[in-house]
Amino acid sequence: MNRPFAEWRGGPGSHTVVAVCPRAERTARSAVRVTPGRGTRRSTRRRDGDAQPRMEPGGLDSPGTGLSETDRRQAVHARSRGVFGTLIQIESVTKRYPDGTTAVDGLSLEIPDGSITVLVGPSGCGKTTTLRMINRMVEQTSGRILLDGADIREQPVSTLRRSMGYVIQNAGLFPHRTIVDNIATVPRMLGWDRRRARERARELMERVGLDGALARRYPYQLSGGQQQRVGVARALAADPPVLLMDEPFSAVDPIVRKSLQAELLRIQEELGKTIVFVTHDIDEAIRIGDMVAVLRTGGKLAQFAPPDELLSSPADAFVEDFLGTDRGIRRLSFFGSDGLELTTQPVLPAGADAAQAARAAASGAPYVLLTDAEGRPRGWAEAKGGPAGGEPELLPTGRPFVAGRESLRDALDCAVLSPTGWAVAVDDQGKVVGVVSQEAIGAAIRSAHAARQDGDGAGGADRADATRAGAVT
Amino acid sequence: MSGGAGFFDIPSDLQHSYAGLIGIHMQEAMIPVGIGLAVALPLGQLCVRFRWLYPPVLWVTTVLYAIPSLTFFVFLIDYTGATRTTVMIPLTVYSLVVLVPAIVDGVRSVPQDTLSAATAMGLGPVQRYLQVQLPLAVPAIIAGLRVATASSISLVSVGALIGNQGALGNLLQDAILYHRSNLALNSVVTIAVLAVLTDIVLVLLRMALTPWLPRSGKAAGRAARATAVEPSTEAALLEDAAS
Ligand SMILES: Nc1ncnc2c1ncn2[C@@H]1O[C@H](COP(=O)(O)OP(=O)(O)OP(=O)(O)O)[C@@H](O)[C@H]1O
Ligand SMILES: [Mg+2]
Repeated sequence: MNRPFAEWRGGPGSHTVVAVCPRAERTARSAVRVTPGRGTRRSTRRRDGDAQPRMEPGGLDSPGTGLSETDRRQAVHARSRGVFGTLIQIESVTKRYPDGTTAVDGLSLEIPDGSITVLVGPSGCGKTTTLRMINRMVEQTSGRILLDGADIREQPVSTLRRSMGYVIQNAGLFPHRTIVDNIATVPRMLGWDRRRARERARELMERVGLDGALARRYPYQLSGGQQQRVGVARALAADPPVLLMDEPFSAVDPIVRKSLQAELLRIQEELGKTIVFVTHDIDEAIRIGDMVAVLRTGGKLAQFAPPDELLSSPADAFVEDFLGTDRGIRRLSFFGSDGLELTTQPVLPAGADAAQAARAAASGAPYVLLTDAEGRPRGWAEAKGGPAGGEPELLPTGRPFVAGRESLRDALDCAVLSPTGWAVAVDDQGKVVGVVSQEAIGAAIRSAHAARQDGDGAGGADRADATRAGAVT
Repeated sequence: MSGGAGFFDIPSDLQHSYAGLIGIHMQEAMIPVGIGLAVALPLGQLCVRFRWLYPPVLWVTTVLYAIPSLTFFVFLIDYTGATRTTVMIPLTVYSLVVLVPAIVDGVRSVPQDTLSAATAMGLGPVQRYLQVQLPLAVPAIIAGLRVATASSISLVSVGALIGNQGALGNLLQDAILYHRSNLALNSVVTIAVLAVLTDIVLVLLRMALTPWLPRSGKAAGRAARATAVEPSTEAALLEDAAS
């Protein structure tokens, strides 16, 4: 599975709300999308990666975003990025349950518009409570929550809730309604006629990757993963600007979970919702989050930062501990692999003549990579023996990485797993474009780190066109 | 009045044909169940809403259930006379002891996730009850109804004690009076057949209302049996036959 790749601006301390729009394609696609109301406003805020970034006064200058002049400049310079405003503002909110439990304690968060904010933390740290305060299923004891600048208590609770899709673990589908009718629930409540609501439901089934043949089935006839997709479709049915997701994928097996995460990212690329996503799985948080809020037991905020920053500079020992031991390796997911210097010298195409073989063998690499007629990797052969002398014994190449699209982490992984210590880079069609040694990857990692530390991520961002788009496929 | 009278020859003192007796019997059995359901639905919902209410309600219905119908008749006859109403009032009370727990358990068994999802979608308490809780409680409610109707159909017979208000049950008295054992047999067989047929109708109704239940029906049947307070032989037999 490929890693998502989000490129975030700013070093430690400048985390707030400036984000590199993870993918150029996302913007291009969202721009043509026409939806009524807020959706349009929000989607036009995204921009094409190659277009000159425009400043969005509402987005940048809104109070509380805390952008410095440098941040602003960097935002303009960086390529392929979106600038988001704050949609949901949680202002020193505390929740004390009647039994005296303090579930959330003085929490302040600014949830950026049109991106995924993940709440992560150990069990019982108040994630669900926080999420439910946003749609008022739980009323806070003190503090305020603002939606688009207005206190959420100002509008009728049912209106508020219908503007927020809600997805939970085990989907929580209505067992007595068919899949289409489950999805059509909110549109029906909003007064759509049955035909239109069902049409919309079928459209959404397609969007979340469900076979239309399932439409007339009941939930018990679906697998857990399919039910979860229905849950997402149902939450999206009335095109709400906000999606609240409470551990939506934690009840399915890891493989299905990965595909659901990928699907969510794909849908998000298309729709650009403001998503608040609760999980206790830090890997999931890093994988899908544009911003990650780490909560500690007792409902206190430990850190609120983009995942990249979380990995590179955890705020304290608790966060560091929560992130686990291999955060250095995981952070490599945020570096693109297209800066790697690939070499084609040790690559020997099918039907190569003896001269080519000799050149490949002489390239200095201990092994040469043989490819088939389509250019796909076949296996490694020892350079010394010379591949010309009959069919040599081939070492497996393992999984290659897609150059440019996958991250340095993928490249490193391939190199580590490779019996020769060399990673094979391929293009989208699986054709070999070159090979790279562990040493070369190590050098690339060091220079990527150095580039980050200089506070000038622009170069990295340029190279790092590897995006979530790629990660999803 | 000779011993040679046929199986379906009803003594004239009952003033009804065989079919007429069946009609009266079903009426006396089903009206109490209907009223019981009408009372139990809101009562059950109140018990779900206010948890503290359930134990006392359950206690009262159980105590009432323990009162023999004859005691009810003695008490009621001063007010409602030797009428069908006098028979139907205790039957209504008895049906509550089955229906209230069936409804409460049924509504409570709706998964919390499903309810949260409904709430999050902006459904108010009433919509949630009508659109989610009630439809999902249907299997449990029908399981309760099956027990309630079966027992009601057999209990109508005791109405014979207060002057021929027992419909088919009156045949038992006449069997003794006229020394016609075939009348007793007729009464027992007819009541049993009625109970079985009603049960079949209820099972069909449940199947029609719950296309969303897993087809095997095993789980549903188990849940239904667990909900039923009183074991009913006919009902249980039929359940296995039907599912
Ligand atoms: N209705 C309630 N009444 C009293 N205490 C509650 C209630 N709901 C939650 N709590 C308590 O509040 C704290 C936070 O609960 P919450 O459900 O928000 O945690 P969470 O972070 O979602 O945990 P998990 O990862 O296990 O879902 C816990 O200590 C919990 O016991
Ligand atoms: Mg939770």
